[in-house]
Amino acid sequence: MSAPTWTGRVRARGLAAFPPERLLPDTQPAYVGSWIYVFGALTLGAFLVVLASGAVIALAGPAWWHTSSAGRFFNSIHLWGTELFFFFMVVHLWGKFFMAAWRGRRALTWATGAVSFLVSIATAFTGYLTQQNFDSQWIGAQAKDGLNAAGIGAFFNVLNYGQMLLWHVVLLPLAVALLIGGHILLVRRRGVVPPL
Amino acid sequence: MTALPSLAGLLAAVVPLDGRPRYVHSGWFLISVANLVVIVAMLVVFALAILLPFPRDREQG
Repeated sequence: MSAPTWTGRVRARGLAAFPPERLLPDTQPAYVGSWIYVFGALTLGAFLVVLASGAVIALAGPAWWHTSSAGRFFNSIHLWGTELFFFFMVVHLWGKFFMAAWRGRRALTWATGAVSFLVSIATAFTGYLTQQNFDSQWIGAQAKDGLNAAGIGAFFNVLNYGQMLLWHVVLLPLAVALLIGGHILLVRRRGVVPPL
Repeated sequence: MTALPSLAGLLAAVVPLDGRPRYVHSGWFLISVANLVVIVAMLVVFALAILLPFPRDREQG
């Protein structure tokens, strides 16, 4: 018999799909004892560093981090956190690709990971556009031609600093966080893929 | 550093980030040394992640 309220039904379905021992397991299969299985967690750790350093950069407005040592420090943490995020994610992607990690009803896990990668690239791109230096000007001036040729420029204007900043600090990080969250839940649901 | 000019060149391309970038260019192929270093580092880390043994608990043997 189903619960009489929608909250009860959501709880029942959530517990059925993600019982606590599956959501937060304390053991993993023996084959997970390999360094190649570490890079997903490292990617998540780097993502949290990027989010935290980005939050600090946002505290005092869109330009202060150019003119103070504390600002430059957190800007550097943000940059190198992003470098490590992509480094770990690419190694994670290579490992899962050569493992054919979409096996065993894990296609959606693979797809959410792949889309996370693509949306992360867009997020980093808008970050480069909001540096407010000659580098960002050059990137914006080059990118506008390609995006305009594809018809994207009508609603995504890379020369509009305010629009790019808001995409960078709100819309795209939210999309990446939701995708990564869904990806991790799917890993918990289907389990870590065994080696070939 | 003078004994290892190629290594010095790599470090010079990676460390002083405000300096003039160096490129590897051959025909249609063009890549900055900094990007090439990152790609090679990813390949090395990928190989090490597969080859190096993972530490295990003594209880599990």
